[in-house]
Amino acid sequence: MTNSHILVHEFTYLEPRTVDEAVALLHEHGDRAKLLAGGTDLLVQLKIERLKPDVVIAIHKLPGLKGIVRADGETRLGALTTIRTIRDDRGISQDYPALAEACRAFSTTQVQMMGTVGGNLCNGSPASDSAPALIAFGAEAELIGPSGVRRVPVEDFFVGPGKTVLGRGELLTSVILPAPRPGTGSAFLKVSRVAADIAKANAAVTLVRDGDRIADCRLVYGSVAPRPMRARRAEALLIGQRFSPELVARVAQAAAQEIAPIDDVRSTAGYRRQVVAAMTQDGLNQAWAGENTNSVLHTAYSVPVLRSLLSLSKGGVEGLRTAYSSAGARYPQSANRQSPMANRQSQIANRSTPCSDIIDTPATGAPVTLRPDEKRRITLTVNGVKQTLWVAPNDLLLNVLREDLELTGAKYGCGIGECSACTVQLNGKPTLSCLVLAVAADGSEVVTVEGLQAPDGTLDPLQEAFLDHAAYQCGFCTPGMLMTAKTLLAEVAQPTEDDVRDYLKGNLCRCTGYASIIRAVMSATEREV
Amino acid sequence: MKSEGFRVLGTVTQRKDGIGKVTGREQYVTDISLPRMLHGRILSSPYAHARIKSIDVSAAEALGAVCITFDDIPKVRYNERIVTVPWALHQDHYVLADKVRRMGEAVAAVAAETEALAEKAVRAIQVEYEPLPVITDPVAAMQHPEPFDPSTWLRTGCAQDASVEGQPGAAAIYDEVLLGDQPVKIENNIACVRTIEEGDVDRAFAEADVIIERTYKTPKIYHGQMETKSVVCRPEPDGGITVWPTTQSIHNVRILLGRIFGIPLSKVNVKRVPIGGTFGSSIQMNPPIPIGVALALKARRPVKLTLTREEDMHDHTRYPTQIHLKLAAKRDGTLLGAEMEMVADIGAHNIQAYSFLGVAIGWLVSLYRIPNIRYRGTAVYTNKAPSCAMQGFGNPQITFAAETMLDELAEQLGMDPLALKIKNYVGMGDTFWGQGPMVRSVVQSDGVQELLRQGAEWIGWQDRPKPGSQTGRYRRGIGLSRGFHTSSAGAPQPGDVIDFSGAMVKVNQDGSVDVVTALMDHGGGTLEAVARLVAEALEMPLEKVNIAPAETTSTVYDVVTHATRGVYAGGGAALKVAGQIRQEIIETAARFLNVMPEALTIMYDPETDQGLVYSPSIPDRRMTIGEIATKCWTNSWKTIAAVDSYRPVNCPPAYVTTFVEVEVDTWTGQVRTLRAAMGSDCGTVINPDMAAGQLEGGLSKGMGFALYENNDWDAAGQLLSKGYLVDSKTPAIMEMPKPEEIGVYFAHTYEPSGPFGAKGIGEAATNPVAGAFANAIYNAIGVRFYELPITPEKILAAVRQKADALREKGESSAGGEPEKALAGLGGEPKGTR
Repeated sequence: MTNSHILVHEFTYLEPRTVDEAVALLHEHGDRAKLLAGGTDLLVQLKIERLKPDVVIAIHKLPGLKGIVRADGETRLGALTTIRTIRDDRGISQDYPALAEACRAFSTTQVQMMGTVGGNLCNGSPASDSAPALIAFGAEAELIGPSGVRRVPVEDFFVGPGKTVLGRGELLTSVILPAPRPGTGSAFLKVSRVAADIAKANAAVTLVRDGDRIADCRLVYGSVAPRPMRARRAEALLIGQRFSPELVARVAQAAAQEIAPIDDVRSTAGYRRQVVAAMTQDGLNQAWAGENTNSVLHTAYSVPVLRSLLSLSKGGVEGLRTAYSSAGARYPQSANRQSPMANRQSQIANRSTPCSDIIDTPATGAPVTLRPDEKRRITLTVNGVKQTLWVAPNDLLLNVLREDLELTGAKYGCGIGECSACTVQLNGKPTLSCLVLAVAADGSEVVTVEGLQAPDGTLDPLQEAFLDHAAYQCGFCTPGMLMTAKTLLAEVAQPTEDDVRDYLKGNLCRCTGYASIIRAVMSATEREV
Repeated sequence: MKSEGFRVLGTVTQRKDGIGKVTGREQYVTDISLPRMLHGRILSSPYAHARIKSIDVSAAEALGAVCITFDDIPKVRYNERIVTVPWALHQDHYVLADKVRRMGEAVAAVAAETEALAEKAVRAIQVEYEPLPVITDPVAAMQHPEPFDPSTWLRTGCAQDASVEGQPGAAAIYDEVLLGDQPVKIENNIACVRTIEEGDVDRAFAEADVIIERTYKTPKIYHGQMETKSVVCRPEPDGGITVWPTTQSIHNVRILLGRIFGIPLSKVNVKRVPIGGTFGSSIQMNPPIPIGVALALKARRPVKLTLTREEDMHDHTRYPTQIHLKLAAKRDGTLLGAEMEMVADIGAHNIQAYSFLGVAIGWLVSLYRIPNIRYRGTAVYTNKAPSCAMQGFGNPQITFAAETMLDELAEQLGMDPLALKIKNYVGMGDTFWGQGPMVRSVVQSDGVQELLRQGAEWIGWQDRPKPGSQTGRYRRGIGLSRGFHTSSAGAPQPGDVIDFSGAMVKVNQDGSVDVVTALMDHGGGTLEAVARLVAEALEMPLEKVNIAPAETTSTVYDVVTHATRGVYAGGGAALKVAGQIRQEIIETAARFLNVMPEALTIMYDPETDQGLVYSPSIPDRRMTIGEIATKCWTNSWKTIAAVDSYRPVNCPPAYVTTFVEVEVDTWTGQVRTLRAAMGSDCGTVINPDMAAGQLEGGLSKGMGFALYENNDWDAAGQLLSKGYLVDSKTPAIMEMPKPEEIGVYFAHTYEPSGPFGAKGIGEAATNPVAGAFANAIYNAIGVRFYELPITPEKILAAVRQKADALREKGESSAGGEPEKALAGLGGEPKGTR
């Protein structure tokens, strides 16, 4: 059996400083190397020993690969842009709403904030949530390699489970969305066992409307074939046709026949065909109506309704500036908050310049090479105190915190990012510390549950709220719960119950049934304003 | 709720253990670190069934690891759970396997300076296995040594329903086990059988107007407690050991460790450590505990051994069952008799299977008055994780069957299910034997009708749709299920189940109080409840009652915190001792005040914020408890203290009712939980917040059992999820209804045998939930489900089947739009896989 307490596999950790260096390293090591970006897929694969690379090339600190840029009508997503950044970007929500929806339906808060769009594509999963939406909008992947730059439609990027067209030495640098065509409506739908989950099946639909006819459309599905796939025959039935319920029903069945699903641990082939039919009908109707999917969400699907987020004005992303970018606009209230606790919260994610990615400052200094038998000195600022530590390439942040620093608040629950009991704030964002290499976090700021309480013993209002509402029983999930909820309170001024559920959707609690937790977080909102 | 008249009980305060839990300072076993501590790892079997031909640990030892195998540990066979009296206990387990009977069984173990080194070492151990045929299907397992004729001993035939393909002539998982200290042969892989017959069943069925007969199946789900099982063990210089385990019973762990390792119990000190959830998963002494002890003894250094999640998921599960139930009733709804046959798949080890078979029928006949019963329960070994108690110990399984069957019966009789259930439920004055035929008592408090009335009103029961009447895509339904659990397994005479508690209370020199009990708090606030009971009894403020850290050397025996007995029996023990303390305080004060003790009384005094002893007729003769305690000290006299044991002679039913409203999407089969009314009759409500938390948590876990959780093993005995949480989904925050859509309420009852009128609540909270979901889904779409979980896949298949049947019958309207829209798809994919 594997051991998800630790990362058993040993490897050489390389941290290049430029894209060119990264390409050279990739070329040098070829199949022996794996790229590390957000880590939410790679670390799991390493821990469960499905992948055993000799070399891990960490690109999370490379400059120029992060953020959303618009130019000449195109929208360029840097490969290191997190899923959360895409979800929260106003331009994406306006022009590519199904993509924003896909990012909203994507796993958990922590994984959205750690995971990158490039990583999600390069993982090559047939069940990717981002891929169908990107394909539906006709996105292209830009790859850089030893022989230069090339563009590949995302549709053609996938070869099979875990396999992509990336050649030796090639790196995905960005994903480019073409300018939205006028009259385009879109939808993203997902069916999964529980809300925070890998899809049993997902669907992205784009449709260009020309009067009462369908000028163009794409029907793209995930988790129903060896790779994300378009149902081209079903699409062909729609193009040029007058939109009607009968046509939609016919297309739904055509799509259900066209996919190639299998039985697996999540669902059955037969079920997948049936829900693809349902999702196709719903998706086409939504896309035709041109409505933002948020307003007509069907309860059956795994995408939460988040009205308060929609009404928030959203800023852009750091790094690469966009037309929408305006520092501070995203969390206007957090900077103005005048609670007596405001000062000591400065360690928490309460910063005037929002950061959207876990590591937001490109690294400087020499590239890092750390061999399996070596340790490297790293610096972490933990709960406001600078700590110097010696770590091996495969040491995990969770274990370094718990064992080296004796901060045992963050817990091991599952080891693969599924329970969120290990959540700490890394550079202000709730992060699964069981999926972070300590060496990769060098220079970061970490706040653990121990850092919520002031040095004089004063409890954070959120902690008080948990006490008042008995929002814990055994208490094992509580530290992770608190560190995630703390981010919500910092990011959303007046969260609704739905916001609480959305932020905490990946934090498992087996005791409480969650009701008291929702009540506590809601009451903490009132305390802090 | 009936908390009026109490000073402390029924109020809402912050828990004593809260600050530790919200600040990350609460120390669980996995957080404990000792000087010179080594890290342990287990070598677990990759095979579900294999003989171990050889083990070579030399490479592991060369890495500097301490290694243990079967030969390093005393050859003592034991049962991990020792609640059953020793002479009736089946014992089939060794600390390390003599032969592996399930995937993940511990074969060897190592301890090393770091976990990484321990991992290297454990992988360096060479084991030669001889794989044996794997048996995962309990019915197939009974085919050993040759196919049997079901008619010879299976009356109602669960066997007919089970697929036995591919596993004919199953291999023997055990040749023999111990019953007490006597070897008994295991035949057909049957661990034990229990038959119970009362009344005249044949006559009941002959006289019945209606007979209903169904087979139900429940899955082998995983507890999913947040903390994985863990242990820290320190060998002591005197040859003893100190152990910090995840457990629900420090004393039973101590007894077992003493027995296995031959150490006097006085030298085995087991500490109570906060536990990160359990739900039954640590009701027995879990495998890592004796392994950690063996490693520490051999290494002569402290060892920590924490299971990974993947190991933990292979470790224990709920009992999966096949329940064949046949019910006879009169036209007016009176239940006449029942026949039940249950096959319980117990996995690779027998952990209290005999008791399980007994309670299974107990749950049925204590839920409804069924005068004539015939029952046969069979516990079968398979090559899977051992099944053990999981919140309800068979009750959720049986209640699912019983409550959906009564719903179905009511429809056949044209009755309101609510009326049918009220007509037949076991209530006030009825004899009750939920914990099995040896554990009988009479119901003395009964809030069932109040719970049903309130819940029905809250959810809008009378306005629920007619089953199968809806035609749209989204269909809503309301379901009702009753349930209960026993508070403890107490009974007038000793039975085959051990059930008693103990406590010590002492008054400190400033008048504050320490309560010393071996009771465990799984997180629900059991110890907080005990503190409240003592504070109430001693007229003390809650802040002055301390729950002392506990370990086996300084506490008296408490069997195990299970069976919803924590407050009722553990609290009962503390209250019994508090009564003795109260008397001693009065007698001590009588000496100091020169007043006859009979003339003195104790009352809480708000001015001094403590108990005041005074004589109503001589008001100036008064002393606070603090003054009395101080004077006892300065006079060099004594500590006011008492210790005692308490055996409950009843096990009153903690009744619950669940109403849920669901919405079924007939296009995707997804079920959304809209609302739920969770009602509890737990007698006096000691802590409203925590009681509500039990009900809300019970809803979540019951929902998981009903709709989401499966934990399948394949034919090779491999867990499909491989132990990764990604493929073992439980309901999370998104699956729960909004907090304001969960109605939590309590009956106004007082249990005469309970501490200040209290009964239990914990397990009861989840027992009815699955039945309520199944009934609500039926109400919405008109389809009955007899197998859990009710997944979207099953719902969609059933909706389609129903639509096809209607179409064949030529009924055009009832199928509605959705089936039409999806009708062309056909059941089987035509494309390639």
